[in-house]
Amino acid sequence: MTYDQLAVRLTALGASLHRHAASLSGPAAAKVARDLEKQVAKLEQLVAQAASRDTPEVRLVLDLLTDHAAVFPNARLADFAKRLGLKLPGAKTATPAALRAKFHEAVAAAGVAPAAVEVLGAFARAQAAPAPDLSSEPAQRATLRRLGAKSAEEIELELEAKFSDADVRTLARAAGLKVTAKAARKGLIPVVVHYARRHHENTSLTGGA
Amino acid sequence: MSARVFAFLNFKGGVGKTTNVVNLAACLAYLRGRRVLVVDLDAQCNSTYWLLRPSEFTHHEAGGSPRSRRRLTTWQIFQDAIEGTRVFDAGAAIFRGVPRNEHGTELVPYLHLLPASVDLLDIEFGVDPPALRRLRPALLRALQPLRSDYDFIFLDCPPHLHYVTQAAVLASDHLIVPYNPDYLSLSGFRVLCRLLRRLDDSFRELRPDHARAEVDALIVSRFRRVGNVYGVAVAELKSQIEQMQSAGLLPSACALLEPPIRDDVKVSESASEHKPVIFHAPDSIASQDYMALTASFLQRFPSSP
Repeated sequence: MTYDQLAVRLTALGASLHRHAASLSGPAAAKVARDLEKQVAKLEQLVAQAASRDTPEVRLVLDLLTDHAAVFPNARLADFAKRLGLKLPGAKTATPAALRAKFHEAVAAAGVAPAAVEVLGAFARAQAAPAPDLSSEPAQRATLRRLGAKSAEEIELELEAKFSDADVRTLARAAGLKVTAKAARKGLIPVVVHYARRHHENTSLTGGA
Repeated sequence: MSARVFAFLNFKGGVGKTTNVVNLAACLAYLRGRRVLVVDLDAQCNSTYWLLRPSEFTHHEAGGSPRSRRRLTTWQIFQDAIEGTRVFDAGAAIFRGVPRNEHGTELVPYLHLLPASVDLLDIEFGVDPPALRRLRPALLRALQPLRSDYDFIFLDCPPHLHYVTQAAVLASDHLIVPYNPDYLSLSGFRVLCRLLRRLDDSFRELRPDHARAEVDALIVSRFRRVGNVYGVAVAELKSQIEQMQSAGLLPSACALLEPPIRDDVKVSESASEHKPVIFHAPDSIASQDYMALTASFLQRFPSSP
């Protein structure tokens, strides 16, 4: 029996049950009904899971994870899972391939495929971007302006993907910020994101006065 | 030798036009031995009263009626252009060796001042358009015979871009924009550059050999090393300059002259003392900054040999 045949049979059963429900009685019928209800619940869950996986976004997540496997090591995937509010049990011991599969499953089950596509795609694009040119002060400011044209999340991802700790500090100084030699990357990234966007906005030749 | 003429302009008020004109001119003349003429074009007469005590200015104008007093100021240059007369006498109008001490001794023999008159306020009112257009080349013509007497001529412009300022732009070899480190100044700077570009087209026939009316340098005033606010604003200005240079809106040589001039109460105080800050408070941070700025200015604009 195929799933299609089962669907036809269940549809017919449903219609018939609806018509003759008042005629059913007795412990035997009640037991069958209770057992069937449990199986139907399991089947509903399986169908829902399958349906959630069967979207363009979920397929795109799989494509991104497969095509850019090298840029998504376990630690990075665990970080993205946290960002998307997913739980990845066994992440520390899983092989990269197994974790990618878990990640994909978790994304589909939680219904966060669009957000996952955005974050994974932005990170993959950031990885593919040219190495930052920080060779001179004008080059640093040009990099700041280029970054500032992006969304906050994209800037953050590119900083994570392409900029060393020292690079992030250099960018912060190019924005005119006072930064110590030991300023922590984690605290500095949101500040650089803000000032890069402001720098782009304030110095744009097309906007404002 | 021919003086380089600089217009210090910005249609935004309170950005340090007069402060930079007076103090940079004083440093160039007193510390570097350059001959400098300050030409006050602002009806507020701020350069005039910074370098002259009110009694000195009155003495300079002494004996005349209000009408004859005006002859000894930049007002007469423009009045001549409107009336078609030749009354202006630079020899009589220029105040040589300013500032002076209470005994009238020149403190900076190489620093000269062509004062302004409050009557400049009215110079453009009630004048018909053909006469107004004659205002534009008036300053260029008036300064021509003075060029051989100086290394630098600084024009202190009013805070607008009307005819007097346009005359200053036309008479200048270089434009310098004093600038406060904030977004409103940044936005105003873009507008200023666009307006100058528009003006430039109308200057072609008046002075065919004139280089484009473009900003050659900026000076940041009222800088404070507190927090990140001012540092960020200066970084944005640098970025803006680089972008405008890439887009061909500013010459590639346009530079932000270093260092920014720090906010210092001694500067305001020195204006009330009618002296440049290097005389009033030589050890102040503003004096240090102006000395460093002078070096930077001379590097960017060396005087003719």
